[in-house]
Amino acid sequence: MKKIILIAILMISVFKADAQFTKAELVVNGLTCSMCSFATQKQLQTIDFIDSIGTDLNHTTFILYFKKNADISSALIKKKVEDAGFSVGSLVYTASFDNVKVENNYHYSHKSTLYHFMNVKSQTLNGLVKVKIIDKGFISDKDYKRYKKMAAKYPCYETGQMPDADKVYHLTII
Amino acid sequence: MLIRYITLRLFNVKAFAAAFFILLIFDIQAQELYVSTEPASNMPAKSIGLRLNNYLMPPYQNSKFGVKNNEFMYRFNPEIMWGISKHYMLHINMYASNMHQEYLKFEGASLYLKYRFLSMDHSHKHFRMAAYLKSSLINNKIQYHDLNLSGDNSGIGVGIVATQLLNKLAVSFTGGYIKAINNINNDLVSGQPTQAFNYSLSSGYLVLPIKYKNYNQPNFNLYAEFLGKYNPETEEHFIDFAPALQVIIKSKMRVDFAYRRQIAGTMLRINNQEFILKFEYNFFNAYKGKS
Repeated sequence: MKKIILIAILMISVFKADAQFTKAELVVNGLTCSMCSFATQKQLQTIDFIDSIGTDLNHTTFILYFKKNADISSALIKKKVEDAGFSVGSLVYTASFDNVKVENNYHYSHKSTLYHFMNVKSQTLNGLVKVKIIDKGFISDKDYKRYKKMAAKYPCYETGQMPDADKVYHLTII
Repeated sequence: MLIRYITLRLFNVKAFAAAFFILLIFDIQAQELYVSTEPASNMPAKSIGLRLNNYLMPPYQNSKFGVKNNEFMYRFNPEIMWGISKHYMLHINMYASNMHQEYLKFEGASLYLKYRFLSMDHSHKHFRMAAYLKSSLINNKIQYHDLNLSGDNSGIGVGIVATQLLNKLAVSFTGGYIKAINNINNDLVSGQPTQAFNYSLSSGYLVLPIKYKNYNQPNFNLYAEFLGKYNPETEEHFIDFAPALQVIIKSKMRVDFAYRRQIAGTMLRINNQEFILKFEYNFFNAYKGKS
């Protein structure tokens, strides 16, 4: 019985120090008409972890609402945008954090994805936080060069891979 | 020599500068779904488009060449468009017209493959480049010197398209080479050209809506296009000006109306003007599967 309680407490505490990705603001570059936006939206609709999509046509921004407990893939979002013929201008996630301690260059595993926090102060994240993907292909070339300088000691930023070849995405808090 | 020729011909045209200037002074956005040419951008992967192209040519006489067409001519050109992947797209065209005989006849078909090899996107500008290959098999009499792979000649064409979008201005350049071969049942005879250089300069603008509300709102676009051709063997040339109006409906249908007219030229052509009406419907994500 004690064991079960212990496991339960352990599970709750593990569950507690977690995050839930609820939505994303996706800015798409290269769009010029409503037909281009519509084609992009149709591509994004095929992603299974997306529940619904809102659109700001004037700013070529898509709001992606995720299913509960979704296992998000930034690579798939990028692929769908590129399949439509365009490219990602920026991708900002809104995540609900529960007691997650982060510091600069902290690696954080969420579902099947490993994230690397960059350019952040040491803090405990609670509640809704906006995090931005800062890997190549998700930000402007100018910003990429800036972060590359910052991450000189961390080759995973440039390669997008950990030494054990696991894929890693880089985040910053905005 | 060719570049000098093109530059001279293109920039001698006063209408060119005037048209661009007029369109630039309006506070409107750029658009690149050109009516008479293809942009360097591709259609989305896994999408299928159907287009019905209609060309109507008024009666035309040219005493210099002995051309005397007293009737309206009409060409019907259904087109299937397929976005194979983010890099490749394919168009299959079929042609029927009464241009080379008095009745409407099926003339043949063409394939157009475009490969987008460069794409530099930023928030309000992009630059894209693509290469294309076009081939056609046509069963028509060879009577004129305006070599084309869109209904009149069998042959092969290759070319490059570069499209630059910079805030309000979207300019696209196409440069290509056409090699004609014998038509089915009709051979090229001596004196007829077998090669041509084609080039075009296009510009497009989004006129309405000024502010987007939703996907159902119609878009109105205006285009100004210049299309030229040069036959190196016979040293004939022409430049056409083709303004166009486009309506996009429900973000998946397109209706294009254009009027194309020769503004300079020495080439033996079947006509020097035409009205173009196109209907297009797109199926985005028409099928599942890997792209």
